[in-house]
Amino acid sequence: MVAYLVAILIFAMIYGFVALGLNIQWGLTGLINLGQVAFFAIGAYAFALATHAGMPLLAALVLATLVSGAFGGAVALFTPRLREDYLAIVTLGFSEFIRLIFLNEKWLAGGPDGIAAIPRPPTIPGLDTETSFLVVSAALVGLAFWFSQRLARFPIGRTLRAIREDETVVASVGKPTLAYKSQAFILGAALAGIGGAFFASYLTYISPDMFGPNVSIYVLAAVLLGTQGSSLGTLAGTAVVAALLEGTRLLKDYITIVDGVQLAALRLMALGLALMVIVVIRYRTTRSP
Amino acid sequence: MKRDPENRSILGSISRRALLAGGAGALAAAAMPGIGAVRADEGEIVVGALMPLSGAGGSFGQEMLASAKAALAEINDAGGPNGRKIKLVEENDETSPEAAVRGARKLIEVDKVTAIIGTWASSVTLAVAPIVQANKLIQFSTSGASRITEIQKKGHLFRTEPDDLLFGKAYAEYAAGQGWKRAAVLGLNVPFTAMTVEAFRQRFVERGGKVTSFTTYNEDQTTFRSEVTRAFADKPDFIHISGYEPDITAILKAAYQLGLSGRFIVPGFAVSPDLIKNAGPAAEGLLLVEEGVAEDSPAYQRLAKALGGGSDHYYSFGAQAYDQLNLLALAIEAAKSVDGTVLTDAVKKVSGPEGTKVTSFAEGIKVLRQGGQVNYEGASGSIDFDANGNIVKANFRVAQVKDGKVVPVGKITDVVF
Amino acid sequence: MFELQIYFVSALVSAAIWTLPAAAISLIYGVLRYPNFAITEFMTLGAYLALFLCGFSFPLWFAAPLAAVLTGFVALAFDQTLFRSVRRAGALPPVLLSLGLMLFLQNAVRFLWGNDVLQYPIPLSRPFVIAGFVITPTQAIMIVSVLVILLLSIVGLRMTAFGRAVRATSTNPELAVVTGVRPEIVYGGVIFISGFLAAIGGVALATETTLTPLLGWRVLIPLFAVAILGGLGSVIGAAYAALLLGLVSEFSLLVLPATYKTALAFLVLAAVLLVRPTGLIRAGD
Repeated sequence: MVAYLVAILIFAMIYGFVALGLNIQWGLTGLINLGQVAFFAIGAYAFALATHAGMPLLAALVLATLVSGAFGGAVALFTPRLREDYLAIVTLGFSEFIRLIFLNEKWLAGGPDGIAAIPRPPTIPGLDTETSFLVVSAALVGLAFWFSQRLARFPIGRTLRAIREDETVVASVGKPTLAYKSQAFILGAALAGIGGAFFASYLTYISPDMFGPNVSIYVLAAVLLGTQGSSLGTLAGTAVVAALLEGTRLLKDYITIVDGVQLAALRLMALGLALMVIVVIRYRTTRSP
Repeated sequence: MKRDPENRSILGSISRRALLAGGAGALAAAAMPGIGAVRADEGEIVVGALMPLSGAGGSFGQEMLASAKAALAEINDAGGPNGRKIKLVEENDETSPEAAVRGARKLIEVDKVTAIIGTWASSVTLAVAPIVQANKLIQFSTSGASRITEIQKKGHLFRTEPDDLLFGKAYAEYAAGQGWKRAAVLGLNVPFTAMTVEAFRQRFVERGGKVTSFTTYNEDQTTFRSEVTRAFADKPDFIHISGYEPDITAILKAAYQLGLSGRFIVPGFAVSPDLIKNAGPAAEGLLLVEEGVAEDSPAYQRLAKALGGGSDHYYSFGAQAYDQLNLLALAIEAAKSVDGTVLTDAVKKVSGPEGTKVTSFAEGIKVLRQGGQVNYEGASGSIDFDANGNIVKANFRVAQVKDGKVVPVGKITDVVF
Repeated sequence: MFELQIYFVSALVSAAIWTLPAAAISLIYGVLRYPNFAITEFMTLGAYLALFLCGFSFPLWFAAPLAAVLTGFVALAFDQTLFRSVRRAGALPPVLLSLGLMLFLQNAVRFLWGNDVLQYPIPLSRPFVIAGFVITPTQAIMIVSVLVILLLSIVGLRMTAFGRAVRATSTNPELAVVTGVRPEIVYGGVIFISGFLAAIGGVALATETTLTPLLGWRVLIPLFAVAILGGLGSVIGAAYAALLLGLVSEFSLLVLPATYKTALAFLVLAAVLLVRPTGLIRAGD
């Protein structure tokens, strides 16, 4: 039972990075990103490949952060003037594009078989491996949270919020909105990359089919659930989503009327339903006549 | 405590009777906190059956689980290794590495297993093996991918399935034996195909053949028309498809619907009754090469009887799962230990080729308890492991689909690296 | 030469599969102004419902339109219960809703029918070969059916009162209301038709391949590429764009590995959006 609880918390931490990243992009700046899983995947693969190449864990983590941040920058540069709905299509498509690259380029990432034997950080003396991993990831999530808070309070945070509210006004006072938006996208992607590195390290194994759209939906729901723009709300939202989804995994041992495949399907149906309900609650308007 | 079924079997029938005779069974059990501590070393040996109960390997996973249970019954009826019963905990890997990793962690951390048997898909074995090795346990696999050999060098992992290199050579031997000279290859984009195809090409060229084209594809493609067309373009004597059931079904149908007829050779593990039903007329004449079983051995006959199928059933993966559990139990008996590192050596020892030939756990412990050495000859073959934990020498069977039935048409024996 | 003719027929088959669902995306975008990611899952649902009906020994030609009508109603039900409450909140809320609906429907199919690969009970048949063009009877029926439904849709949009209301709403919603168009009727009608078209596309795709819960998801990117290439909002544009993308992706096999067809579609999509977001093909509705 404790083992399950620790596992749920670890997933909450992993998705916490990704959701904090999405919160900077979308919550703070208003840039919708339906493909956050792309940067999560890039971080995971960069970390896995770097450790397999013999890089120390910390260096691999930094590299994963930088590489996913760089990809975030590239996407931001190519899509500066896209309308919200087009950005939604491009980011979702991009995430599937990235997954196809990892699937097809065997020389790069092992193709469909993925990468195994990804190392975990050394166990803190006195703790078991799982709890130790939780402590390490929680410490880094804390750091990311602190960073997000600072970012929101600094002038850049105010500018990003202003861009969210009305980009033309910000541009008219001479602020380089494109540079600001790119920075927000880079930071958000980099945080997702850290999450990916922790994901790879925790499962010790990654393959392309883990990086479908579910992760993107997961963090969208988390950011929506917390008050959009608030880092604390985002983390709370992530905790709720993780409890709902990872927590229900343990039902597998107790529910026998549905088989494992059906239970997995039910969990993802719940995720889809949760996202829809949250959206309706958040954006409900008076009915049109 | 009183109703805890685990407790009952752990205490064993004699001590239980003694306790009941004392008339204070419940009290005594409650008053003996030390029992729990003894349990870990002296109680049941927990073994994880991590098998594909759904997904691409679904039909084989069910067969493997039933076969492992057949071996389990025999082992426990004979008293179990070192007098300890084995408890089998099943976990569905869904033929997916992600589910398998989660399942393996659960087996290791929650169920505290000594060994994991049954990993079927190569991607699953590749994902699970590092975890097993990190925990110094022991794993048995039915995967063929040659890439696994690299991982096996760290120990703790045995494969009862012939390596893909042997598979590739078997295709080549059979085709050359039939006098076919030109081969086209269609390969699913997974590592096992690359090695098989390379081994096939090498042996086929040695035997005077020529590979006219090698086309790879992804399992989630919507159409295979272009790939099939490419393969037929050079008028090959036969086409070898290296893949799994869903894509092979789609390719056979695509060829049929393009009006193309040819000879297809595919791996046996990709052909289930579903394929023959779904592909219908497109599957007629399909040749399949599968790892052989020791049909005449007592072990296989016991297994076939336990599974209750007719004589047309061919339990090649079931036989392996059956042998895996028997080998593990014999190794534990021989090593008097459940330590994964010790067992790695013990498994090699009981697999032979030296020692007295035995075909069951019951025969094996008799020899072992008299201080002898055993050579387990199982349902799937004679199973002698090399230094890496791969079987040294494999036999294959060639069968053909005729009128919707799988009919044996040939054998390829003693294929070696 | 044989190979080129195969590619051509494959392009035609792909185009026939993509046209109707892409037209559905286009219609919804034109009228309701949001990209609907759940269209692919209405394809999957429609395909499985048709299989379900085939289980009552209905022939596929009868089961398919029936399943499509049912799918239309399912789409309408979600629209009225969820999407309707965020009608005036801009493009983002319905986009997010459609994403949630995508996940929900895909897994509802998985829950009901499992992950196993299924197929319609239609016998395999040998193809016709006409001047080197190889086509199976099923493919021929599929292409003709899609063409008929496409023509009916285009004629319907031009000739009927409902079609005129749709086009008016698509061009200028405020003006349409002034001229007496009741927007909710138009919205509901468009959603129903989109569900119907998607389901037919799903059945078409499943006859060509097999049924799996990922049936529709796998063509999401090509569909959006087609819808955007055709100029979002235009049904005829979607049809032309489907043919164009079909030809490009099949003939790309001459230079690219087959595994990159979808990636190629994404590049087409991204390029069109970046260079000319109004689409390459301008055509009336």
